[in-house]
Amino acid sequence: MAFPALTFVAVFSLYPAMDSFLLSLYSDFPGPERSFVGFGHYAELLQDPVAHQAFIVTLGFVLLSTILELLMGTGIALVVHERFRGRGWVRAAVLIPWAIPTVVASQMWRFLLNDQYGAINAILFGDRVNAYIPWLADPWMAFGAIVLADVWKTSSFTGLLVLAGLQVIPEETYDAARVDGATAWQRFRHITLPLLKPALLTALLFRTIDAFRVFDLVFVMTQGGPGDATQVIQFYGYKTLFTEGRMGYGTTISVTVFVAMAILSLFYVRTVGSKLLQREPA
Amino acid sequence: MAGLELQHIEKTFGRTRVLHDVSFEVGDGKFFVLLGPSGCGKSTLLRIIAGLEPQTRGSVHIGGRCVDDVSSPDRDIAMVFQHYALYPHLTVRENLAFGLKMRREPKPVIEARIAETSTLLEIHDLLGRKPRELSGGQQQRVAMGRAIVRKPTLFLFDEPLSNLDARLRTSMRVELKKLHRRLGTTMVYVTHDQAEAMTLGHTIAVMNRGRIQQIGRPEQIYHEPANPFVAGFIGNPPMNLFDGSFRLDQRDLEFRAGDLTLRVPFQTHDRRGRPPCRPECADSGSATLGIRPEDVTFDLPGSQHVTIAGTIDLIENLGGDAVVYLIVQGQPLVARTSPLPTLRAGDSVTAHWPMDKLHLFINEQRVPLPSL
Repeated sequence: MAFPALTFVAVFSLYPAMDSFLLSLYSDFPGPERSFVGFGHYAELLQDPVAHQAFIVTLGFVLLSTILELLMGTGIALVVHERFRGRGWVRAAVLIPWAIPTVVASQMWRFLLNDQYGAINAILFGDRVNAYIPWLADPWMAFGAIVLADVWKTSSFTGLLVLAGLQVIPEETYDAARVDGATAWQRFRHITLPLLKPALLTALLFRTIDAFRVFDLVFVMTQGGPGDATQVIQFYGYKTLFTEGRMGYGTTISVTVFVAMAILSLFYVRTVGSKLLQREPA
Repeated sequence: MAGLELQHIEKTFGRTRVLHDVSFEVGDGKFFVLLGPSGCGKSTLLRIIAGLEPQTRGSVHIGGRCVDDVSSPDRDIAMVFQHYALYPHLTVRENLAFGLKMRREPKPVIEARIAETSTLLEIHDLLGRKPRELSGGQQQRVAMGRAIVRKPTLFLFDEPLSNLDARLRTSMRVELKKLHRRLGTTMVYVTHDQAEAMTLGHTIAVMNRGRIQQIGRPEQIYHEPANPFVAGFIGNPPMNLFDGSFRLDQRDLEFRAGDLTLRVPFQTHDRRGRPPCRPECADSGSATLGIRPEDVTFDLPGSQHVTIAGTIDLIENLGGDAVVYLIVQGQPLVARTSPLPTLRAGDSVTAHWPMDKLHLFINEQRVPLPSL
């Protein structure tokens, strides 16, 4: 019975992964004259300063965006969990950024941040065109812009996960804490947060893995620039493979990211996941 | 310790009024039971006392102090919830300590109180466990421990035993009674279980549809129910109630319900020539007549007995006693008697009950029958 499923996995997941791995073991230019280079590309990657820089940028992006998204998401969840008039509309509105395709959202942010006709400059400076800031031309601000766009787009997703976590905390538990003398802050700190831990960990798991694979935001907004300021590892891999045509080395980068993700996922599933899924024995 | 007083409490949710002018007083150290069917507003009332829900009108006094503007954490009360509401992420010890920690009690005090409480409730073996590792009965004990450990001035219980199985419920009921005797703290207890109410309460307030129907000692509620609702709610099986009409002649009251006709000796005026109570001043009208199943017998009739012929429909033998379902003159009648091995379903019998055990309600209010 497992055969059709296994076939599916083999054809669509295993084969491409294995083929990519094999590709990374050959010299850059495909064709009959390509030569086997073994782990040569991997050795090159270890020495490649651009790759190192890309890795650091990616790490920074993952850390910053994940932390901000968890904070924002928790905030959003706490707000839309409250009972108020029009809560349904607010809940729907919050999800809009998440529903927009990343490419569209990135394009929108690129327009908003444009140095000549961008809405953000217009709002900040109005007619004083001389004061307009070329946001995406500054290394730090471009990096910030990418993080901002990602946080804007994905916070509602973490918000949704956290909201689900909030909804399973029984109202009676809060009542008990109130009668027990806990103030609003104490209830949040001692009841809400600890009971939200599973939801927060799930969100963390999804977001880190997702953020590591960031590509489209960078592709649309900055093309990795200015300089290599926003060149994340996936974009570097893409550039190497398709722009420079270095088939072997480009795949090497992809395979490395793939392996890193696999290890990270395994680590999560083993540590966080087991805590989430398993109940302590009675 | 402190008493509790509610003055003209009203509560509306949107357009629905769930509590109508509820007032009562609970003396210091008393065990007060709010009894009523689900949805009668008793839990809402308890939440208002706890400060978890604001009342629409009226005021709450605890220990002589008006607490309308005092938030729940500052009311110095403890509450035991229906679903226990233990903190799932904390051990039993931490659950007990929670309220004391929030109030910043010093550590030695917390330790001493936990030791004291866990000994009292025999839960010291459980202190290191998480709530999900406990049975329902153990969770219940911990929930009570969490209330006791704080030494509040007032305990509130919201159907605390309703999630336990029948045997455990009975034993916890006994323990709760002992606990109250030991602590001597005022307790307000919400339940829909009349057995709990009768056994636990010094005073019972019977509620229905957001109104207090009657407040009194358990035996008062049982023997002198104020209206047909209370009469039908208290007792197991419930009181036989016949809805019909009455007519007064010179000495007797004639009651008719369908084919059933009963004559009750009845004085319209007491010895000083005054009507014994107001509602029955009319000579005729609709009325409800009640008789408790346990007052119906199949013994030989005495002079002051109502005697009525009927057929046995069904007998439920409960071992110690039996519940007999009869049809008398077209009306169902339930009797609770000692087991009658000779009787079978379908048998014709004569049922009797003492005249003074009849309950008469006119205009939904109890009319005392003159003692005979």
